[in-house]
Amino acid sequence: MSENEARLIPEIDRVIHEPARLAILTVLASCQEADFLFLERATGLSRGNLSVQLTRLEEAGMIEIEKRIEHKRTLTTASLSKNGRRGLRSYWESMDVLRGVVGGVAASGAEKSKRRRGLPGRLAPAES
Amino acid sequence: MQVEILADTSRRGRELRYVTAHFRDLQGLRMAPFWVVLLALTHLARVGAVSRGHLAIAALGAGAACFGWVYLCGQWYERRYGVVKNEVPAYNYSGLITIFGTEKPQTYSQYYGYIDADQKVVFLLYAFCLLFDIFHSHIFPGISDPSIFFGMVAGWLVTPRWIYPVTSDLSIRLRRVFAIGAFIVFICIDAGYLLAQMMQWWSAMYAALFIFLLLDLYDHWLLSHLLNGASREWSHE
Repeated sequence: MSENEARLIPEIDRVIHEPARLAILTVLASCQEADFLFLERATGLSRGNLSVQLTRLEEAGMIEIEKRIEHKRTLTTASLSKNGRRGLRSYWESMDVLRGVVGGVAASGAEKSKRRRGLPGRLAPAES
Repeated sequence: MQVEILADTSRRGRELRYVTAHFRDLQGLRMAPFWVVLLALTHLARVGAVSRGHLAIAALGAGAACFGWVYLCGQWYERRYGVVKNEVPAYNYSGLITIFGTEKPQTYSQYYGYIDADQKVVFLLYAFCLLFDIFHSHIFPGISDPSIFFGMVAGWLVTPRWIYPVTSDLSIRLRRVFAIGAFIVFICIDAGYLLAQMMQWWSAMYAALFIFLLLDLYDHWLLSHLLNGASREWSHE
């Protein structure tokens, strides 16, 4: 990868990029709010791990956690904050850019290797 | 290897979005007992073992019990799978435009595939009134025609299963395929019943109820499958 191509790579938010946290944010982006049990079932995380990841996301201002009593039981719900929604959207935009850059690099890499092997490529028409 | 992990993560992401957005739709056991009871009543009516009056009262009882069951079953799903609150579309109540359902596209997309509580109550009330006459003696032949009941239920319960976007995952696509198949069968039943009278009254009813039951059982299986499929622990720091 050239220096110019490397400069095109966008900065990825490390808080969102972690798979467990990305799964939590994906769930929360599809609804208004979800409780701890649903997040546990949907993401397949253990209670301890889920709790740690939720705290991390709350500290980063991505989600809002609320505890309330409903039907005589404590319900812990999480919802995506405005900041989290914005962050997630920007994360996916960055990933799209990254996919485009990587796709371009892979295509040019294939082109170079073809040229090195003396094969005709798309940008180098076959000599008559 | 990394490509496989990314593809798997992306697939799982699509499943997560689908199961979260359709969490209530996929709670198939909410209506399944209702269809089972109606199937049993239809069978009794077909055999002629019980008087029509008793069947009509039983159908009314099943309709009434359905209200309570929907609530209790919802509680069971919440205890087992958790609670998800979806955003309700912001209807514009400013005049005639409301009739044509011109809600904002972005709110509608967050709400796809979901039938709200008011619609369910209207549907159940309608079913409640219709069922009595279907099982009794067809006092209102034009209104209590089974084809109206099937059309209404297919419109409310089957159409949302195939009209809204689905992901490329097989089990989720199958839900749409089954719903489209069911819809076509309903059209055939209606056409056969109305035009050619090829199907007997109770046979048509029996077939339609059986399809509703199968669709709901598949929904319940899909919900369990999607929420138990994430059994592996995601990596963490």
